[in-house]
Amino acid sequence: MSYFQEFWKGIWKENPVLILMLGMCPTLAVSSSAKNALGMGLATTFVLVGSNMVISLVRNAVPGKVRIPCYIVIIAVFVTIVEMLMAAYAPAELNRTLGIFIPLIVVNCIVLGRAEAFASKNGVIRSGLDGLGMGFGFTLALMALGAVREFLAEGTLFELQVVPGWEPFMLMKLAPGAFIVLGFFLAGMNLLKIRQARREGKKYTPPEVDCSRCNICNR
Amino acid sequence: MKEILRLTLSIGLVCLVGGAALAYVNAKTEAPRQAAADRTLADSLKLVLPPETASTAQAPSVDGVDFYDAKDSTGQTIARAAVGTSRLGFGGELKVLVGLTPDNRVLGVMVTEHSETPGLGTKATDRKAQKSLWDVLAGKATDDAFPPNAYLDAFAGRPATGFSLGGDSQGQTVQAISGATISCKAVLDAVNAVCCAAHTIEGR
Repeated sequence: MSYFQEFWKGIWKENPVLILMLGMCPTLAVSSSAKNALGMGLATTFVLVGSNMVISLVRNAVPGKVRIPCYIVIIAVFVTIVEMLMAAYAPAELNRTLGIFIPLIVVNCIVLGRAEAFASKNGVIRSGLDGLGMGFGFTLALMALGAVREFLAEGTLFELQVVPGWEPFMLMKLAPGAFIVLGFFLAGMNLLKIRQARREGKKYTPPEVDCSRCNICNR
Repeated sequence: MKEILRLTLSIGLVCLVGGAALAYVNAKTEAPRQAAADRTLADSLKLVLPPETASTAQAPSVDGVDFYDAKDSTGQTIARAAVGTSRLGFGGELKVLVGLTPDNRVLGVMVTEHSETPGLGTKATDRKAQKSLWDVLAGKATDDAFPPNAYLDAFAGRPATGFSLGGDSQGQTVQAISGATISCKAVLDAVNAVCCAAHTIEGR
């Protein structure tokens, strides 16, 4: 696989939210507005690239049986360092908007999932590109969800009013709205994939990244 | 036995290196983090204090609440601000900055530090600008430094004698936001800490 494909697969073919169904917890909680989604996405991308590269570096030194606790420690250390550096050197506005997302990332299963499924088997550059692609894929999916939910709930986009006098539809802003909109997104994504397969004259098969193939349980 | 020792040692080593890295970064960034926090506080003080404020000075703390006196250009104290802390937040500690008039009425409330969940708890803590996309595109929008928040603004203008959430019939009530009950309670708790301290000062 070329470097570009390594990067691109996270955005479309193996999008973490819409195909791999990874990181559902932040996806549902933080997609209530486009701005929140963008903040969470960018902070996750940053941590994902860093932790993927570090884990790829130490992948041969860590014994297989304790690799997962070691990865969690590495990710947590990385996130905490990012948090401290941001509090110290980032502009106040950026820190205020992104800072609250950082502690949530430690437990984001995209980060551990990519560490285990990809970075523990691939070189540093590929792992970094995988992290970047997955991070952008996560950001884009989250932003699309956030924009739809924010628009339906308040008639705004990025906190800017689009339709004056919109009757607030708070269901969309709360947890049920997240499930409903995500459901439509997944249905749409499947529809696209099925159409694409039909056009190519093939039968649609789900991507080979389902739970039974995830090697967290299998190795 | 040898295997267990090897695994334990490797985890221990990872933790040790991680801990050392954290300690190093923590020590290195302590001063810049404090400086950044001070700058943020100075900016926030301007927002909750009256526009006539020329200078602010730290006053003695009462019951763990930090007070700041606001003086106008003649050196007259025209208002006070206080930082209240609550540990009841969903994500732990939460700090509010409350502006107070000399006769202990609330001027304005803003949350300066919190770890609430974005999109849920932040409904009770964040002040969001009300701007229209079309105004921004037309270049007509202006930056509002102190945009409204229905929950935080419910405190403004009322005497700082302690508040409670709507439903509890006693005292002054404010209405909690759905989806952000815990954060609302934390903000309330922090504001009440300020009210208590202000009351203590008055009693002296």
